[in-house]
Formats: sequence, C-alpha cells, structure tokens
Amino acid sequence: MTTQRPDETCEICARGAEPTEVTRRAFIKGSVAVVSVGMAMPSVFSRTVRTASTSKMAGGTFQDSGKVLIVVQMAGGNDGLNTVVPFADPKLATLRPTLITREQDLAFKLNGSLGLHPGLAAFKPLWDAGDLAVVSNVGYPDPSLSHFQSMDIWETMDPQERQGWLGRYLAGLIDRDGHPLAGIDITTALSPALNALSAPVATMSSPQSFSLVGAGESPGQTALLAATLDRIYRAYPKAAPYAALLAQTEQNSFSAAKLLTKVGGAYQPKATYPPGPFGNGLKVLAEAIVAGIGMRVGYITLGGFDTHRDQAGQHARLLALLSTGIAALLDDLGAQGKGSDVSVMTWSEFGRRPQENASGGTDHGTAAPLFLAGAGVKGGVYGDPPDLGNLDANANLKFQTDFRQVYATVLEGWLKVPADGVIPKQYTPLPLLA
Amino acid sequence: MNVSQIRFDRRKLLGMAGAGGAALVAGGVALRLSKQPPAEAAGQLAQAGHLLRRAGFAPSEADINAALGDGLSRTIDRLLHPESVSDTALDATLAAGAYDVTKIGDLRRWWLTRMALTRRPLLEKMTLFWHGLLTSSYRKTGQGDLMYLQNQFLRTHALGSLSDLLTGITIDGAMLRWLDGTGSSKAHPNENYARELMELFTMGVGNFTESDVRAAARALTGWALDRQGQVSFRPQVHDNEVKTFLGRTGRLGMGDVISAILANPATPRYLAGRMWSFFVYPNPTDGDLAPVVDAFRQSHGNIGAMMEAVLRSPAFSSPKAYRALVKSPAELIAGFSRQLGHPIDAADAAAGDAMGQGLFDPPSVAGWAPGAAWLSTGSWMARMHYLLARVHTLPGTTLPGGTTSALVDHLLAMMVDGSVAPAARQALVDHRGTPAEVAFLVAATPEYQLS
Repeated sequence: MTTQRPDETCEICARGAEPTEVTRRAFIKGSVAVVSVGMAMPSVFSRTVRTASTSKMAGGTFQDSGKVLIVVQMAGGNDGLNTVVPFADPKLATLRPTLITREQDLAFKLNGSLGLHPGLAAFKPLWDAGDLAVVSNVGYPDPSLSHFQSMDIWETMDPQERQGWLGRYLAGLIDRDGHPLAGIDITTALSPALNALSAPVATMSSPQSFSLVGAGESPGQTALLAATLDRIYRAYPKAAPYAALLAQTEQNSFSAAKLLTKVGGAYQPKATYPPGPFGNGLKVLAEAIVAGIGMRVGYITLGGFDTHRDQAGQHARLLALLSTGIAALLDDLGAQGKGSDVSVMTWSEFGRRPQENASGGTDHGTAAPLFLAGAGVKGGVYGDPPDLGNLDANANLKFQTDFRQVYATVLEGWLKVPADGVIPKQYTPLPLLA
Repeated sequence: MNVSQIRFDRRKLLGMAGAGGAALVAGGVALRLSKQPPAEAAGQLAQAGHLLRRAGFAPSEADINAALGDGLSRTIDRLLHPESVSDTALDATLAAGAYDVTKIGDLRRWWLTRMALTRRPLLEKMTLFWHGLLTSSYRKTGQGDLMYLQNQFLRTHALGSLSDLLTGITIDGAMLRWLDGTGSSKAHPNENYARELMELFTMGVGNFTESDVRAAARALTGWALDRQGQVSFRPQVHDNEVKTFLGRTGRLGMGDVISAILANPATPRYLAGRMWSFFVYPNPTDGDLAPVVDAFRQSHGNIGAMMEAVLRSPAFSSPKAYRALVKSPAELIAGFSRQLGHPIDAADAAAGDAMGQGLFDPPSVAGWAPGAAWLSTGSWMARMHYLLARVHTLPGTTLPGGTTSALVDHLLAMMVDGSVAPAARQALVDHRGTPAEVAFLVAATPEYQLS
C-alpha cells in the first residue's frame, strides 16, 4: 500500500506541537532551503521531518527521483482522428465529409499514415528534436461514453477508489518529503486524479492569490489575524464535520503561502506563453519548477473539447493553444536549465465518434492518441493508425494501448517508482522514455 | 443582532447544537432572557439556523427572529409557499438597480442581490439548485439575455411540476445552445443533450443504454434557436420515424421522451438523491430517500411536494445533517451580505470565480462538484482573502459597538448558531483588532464554511 504512513500518528492530532527549529533539506537539488530556521512550522512538516531522519523508507513510500511530471487534461473528449490524422486512410473522407483535415493541410507528417493537425504546428521543433512521443489508440476495455464515468476511470482506475493515480504517487512521496506544494493543480476544485487521502495537494490560480496580504491589512496585522485563525482552527473538534479536511487545508494554505512568499519574484519567463488562463497556468507551473518549491506533479486542464457542434474552428483553436502552451513551457524550462527535469503528458477521457454528426461536430467516442513531450522522451509514434474499418457496436474505435500502460510508463520510466505501488494491476511500460 | 429580541419556541427541542462535538458558548444573553435551560434554547437556535441556511441562505437577524417566533413547522410552510410572501423590498431594490442582464457582472450582481434580500429564500435556493443541475454556461450561450431568461424560467418552475420544468428546459434557448440541441436534424442527430438529459439531469448513469441515447437524440430533432433568440420547431428536419426509447416504441417526439423519463423508476430516485445531497447531507440511503420518492409518486412529480418531504424528514433535523454540507461560494457571498447588511457590489459578483463558483459559468455540464471540493487550498485561501477584503468596505454602522466579547457573542449567535468550541471563542475575544477584523474572523471559522 502506498497510502499507509510509516507510523500511525495522525498529523492533525499532532497540531499544536511546539515550533520546531529545522533547516530542511532543499526540496530541489541545489536550491536554497525554503523552510527556514525559526519559522513556526506546522506539525505536518516537523513530524515528517522527524520521520525522515529516524526511519528508513517504510513500505509504500517512494524514492523521490527529482523529476517533475506535468499533466495536461484535455477535458471534454478530444477528437483524436482530427488531432493525429490518419491521412492515408480513404475511409476518413467518408466518415468526415466536412471535418476532415486533408493531407496537404497537415502541420507535418509523423510517418506514411499519420500527420498532425495544423493547429499543432508548434510541436514541430519538439518532433524534430526527438522530444515528442505520440501513443495511438489509447483507451480501455468496455469503454464508457459518459464524460464523468470515463474521467473517473482514467483518474482513479477504479470506481470504488477515492484516490487518484497521481494522488497515490504523491501520498507515497509526501510521507518522506512532507511539504505543501508537491502537487499543484491550476484550478479551484482539485482534479480527482490528484485526490489523496494523506497528502496535501494544492490548488492555485496564481502565487499572488495564495496570501492574505493585499486584502487591506498591514503585514503585521495580517500575521496577527493568521495567528488567531490558527488558534480557531486548532480548536475545531476533531470529530466535527470536515475536521481533518479543514485543518489540513488551513495548515497547508498558510505553509504554502509562507513558502511562496520566500521564493516569490525571482522567476522571469524565457519563452512566450499563449495569452489566457491556460498559458498563465503553465507559467505558474514553470515558476514552481524554477523556484524550487518541491513540486513533483503539476496539473492543468484545458477544457472545451466536447465538440458536438461546429467543431472545426473550436478544435483548431484548442489544439493551437495546447501545442503553443506546451512548447513554450518546455522552451522556457530548457532556457532556465530545468529541461531535463520535466516531462509533459496529455490525456482526455475519450476520443470522438468517427462518423461526424449533422451539426458539424462529433459525438462521444472511445480510443484516442495522447502525447508525451520533454527531453527525457524518446520521440516517435507508438502504436498503429486507428482502424476505421473495424469499429465497435456503437460505431466507435477499438483501443490498442491501455491507458494504464501509459501510466506505468511514466511512473517507472520517468518518476522511477514501481508502478504496482500506484496501479492495481501489472502493465508493461512502453519503451518511450530514455 | 440584539439578542434580547430572539424569541424561542418552546415546543420544539431537537438539541442539535451539540452535534459534532462542538460546545456551546454563545447566545448566552438570549438564553438568560429565554429563561430556558441553555441546551434547549441553544438547540432551537441551531435548528432555526440549520433550516434557514439549508432552505435559504445564512439568515439575517430578522430571519432568525421570525423563525423562532413562528416555529419550524410554520416556517417550512412559508418557505414552501413563496407566493404567500410579499417581496416588495427586493423588487424595489432590483428596480432601482439598473442591471444590464446581458452583462455577466450585472447578471451575477442581480442574482446575488436576490439571494441576499429575498423574503422567499427557498425559491432562490431552489433556483440555485436547478442552476447547478439543469445547468448552462454563458461562455457558450454568448452575449444577450439567454442566461437571464433561463434563470427566470428556473425560478418560475423551481417548486412546480417536474414535467413542466423538464419540457421547458429542453427547449430553453440557452440550453439549446449549450448542449447543441439547436439545429439537430434527422440526418445525423446530435447526441449531446439526449445523453446529458438522462445521465445528469434525470436518471443517472447506468439506467439507460447507448441505444436510448440515439433514440432520444432522434426524437428531439427539429428544435432550433434563431438569431433573435426565438425557439421554434421545424417539422421538416424532425425525425418522425418509429423508434424505441426506454421500452416505448412509436413515432416519438419531445413530449414522449420527457414522459418516458418521468415514468422510469430511476428518475425519482435520482432526483431525490440530488435534492438530498444538496439540502441535507451527501450519500443518502434508500431509506432516507423513500419519503421523497413517495412524494414524487403521490404528487405526480411535484417539486414542492418532494421538498416538503425533504424538509420535514426527521433526518433533515438530525445531528447527522448539522453542518454536513460545505457552503458554496454563492451561499457564502450572499449569506454574508444577508447577515451583515452590506449591498452586493461588483466585487461580490466577481468573487465567486476564485473560490470555484462563478454563477452562470459551471465548470462542466455536471455543474459544480459539491462538498469537499469547495475546501481545496486555493479556494479556501480565496474565501479568506475575499472575506477579509470585504469587511474593510462594510458600512460603518453595520457592526454594533460595545465590548469585544459582546460583539463576538453577537456575531457567533447570528452566524454560527452560537455554537463553537470554547477555545475558538476565547481566541476571538483575545484578538487585538478592529470590529471589522472580528467579523472577518467569525466568518473565517470552520463552522461558518459549513452549512
């Protein structure tokens, strides 16, 4: 089990422990210690620090590889056939009379049968450098056409499971490292993929939003308010509703805020991100990596892929946003000397129906390609072109690669942890990471 | 609040305030005046606060006094029959407000003002419930008054017939655009609305097949929204062929789809579960829902009857229900205004986004994820930031003078039923700061984040 703590001490129960003077090991190699001497550390820190120093890695915890995984969710169901286009298949024109991307319009070809939609032109330098992998026909058996059921399957792998796959990984890590920003989701409501029973995973829109400063109080008065608030939250009975969540949220928020205050302001982007929330969110993740606050999983969602109607323009815009954003992130991190620490992975709950509908759109489908990118990735196409002549009972594609195989690849090949600590069954990693 | 004005109803005693291990510390002045054992009086305050928060928004002093005066049963009657309550003060405020409801900021301010001032709070709360269930987003419906019209439609039918509500929402302009019903034609029908109508709006996943999705999509073809915002039926693109939907076979159209869904046993169970999770506590049992499902059957799908079953259920007033829900950002913003009396302004209207709930802008067709999702680190921090910024712009007369402990007890009584841990009250009394800061700290308590 990866979620078990090395000891049974409840960190919330331990609140109120005396302030501990600890200079913690830097979260990321080479950077300065970010939790400094004399800071009244929340006990979640002090306890895990003690644990780290007094015990070997207990069962279920993961060795920190120092590597960062950025996960980009393409929410709504991305049209795989119009992302990685099987241009050489004549059946495509029959199924997609108005929505087909023609061979001459492709951004570039991956091989003799597949090419990328023109909106993905920003991926060309990554492809040329061998830093872009395309995994085709990713899905799972007996697919659901419900957004929410299918997301749930991708996120938790089991409808009965409350923890997400990334949450389980982080819970294992945090047992050893114990800090509030190991996982950051650029959102207000945490993705279920990051749900963890014992690990704090932060949601964040911007580092500046993570503070009470600026709400009309002097810094000194803000500190007094925070101290009173801490007393109030400690007084909340442990058996009362939402007690553990409220306590952990309050504690993590303020410790994260302190951390961010310490490192704030040093980052300058060295690439041009697309304007808007997606580009801004990627910039926050880049800042987290450059500032060395210990982030190991960064998560961001790009929505709008549920293209039932008038798909062509919307899908093109989204793909352009996706590719320019990811390319900017990797360029930026490369220029900041962090390129070898970061891989990016995309996913979507399903692809779309091969046959387009009467509204110039596509309905819910099944298998679809996904991307992995970064200096650690062995570029290329993994898998076959989609088989448009062999559809299922709902006229959807059959999958070839199980998404859990991709997870196993990332966990073992990139994060260097045993995949069976996160995924309930054995899946063979794909050979796409160096 | 002048606690001496709190009147207690001696008939009811449910004693919920001790739920969850919290001790009673405040409302002490009221308890002395009531000449009742503290647990009993405090229990009544907790019961009144609980009912008013769930069937409305965080209650004002006047709301609490009215509920304590009338008793819970008559209060429930009043909540369930908004037509019997005059709302002229709200109407006058709205009329003077000059809202341009085609602009999202004004539209949000208009609705939050309704929540903050209405004397028909359950009607407004039901509208919020339906907005999260039969949802649409201005981001896709675009400029114009489509979201305003949908909101008014939901309010009109919020406590009425489910058949009317589902029929109307199916051909509502904003919904036709949001889920692509408009222009869906018999050649290749668009499945978007058909699927979500069953999966999210009425039946729940697992209770229908992909074949039902296709049949419903065919039956719903022909409806269109034009550029002027008018909805019309175009028989020439409607699929009038024979189809089979949820076991019914024939030349089915929209009316047949709605009536087949309402006749399916999954529907009352699913809708009762959604109501329960929104108004009482998450993960209800079949036993919890039985009276609500019965009310659906006996009333032929009347929402008011179902809500009456919810509000009068013993489980609704049980310790398990007390503080079992997390206040949504809209509830927090509107309730804070309702309690402290400040008018909803443009900053209030914009504040929900950072906390995870921009009205008229749900994150997906599934609406907002309830409960713990509102308490992520980022959204909690956004709540704190909002509340702290907000108390600095309160009108000076909002907070009473007097000693810090009197102010603390006044605010605790009104805002958290006078029920917090003694050490929390002590922390509030010890705080060296302004009355505005004390108001912030009470609003920042764990208890105030819950409903």
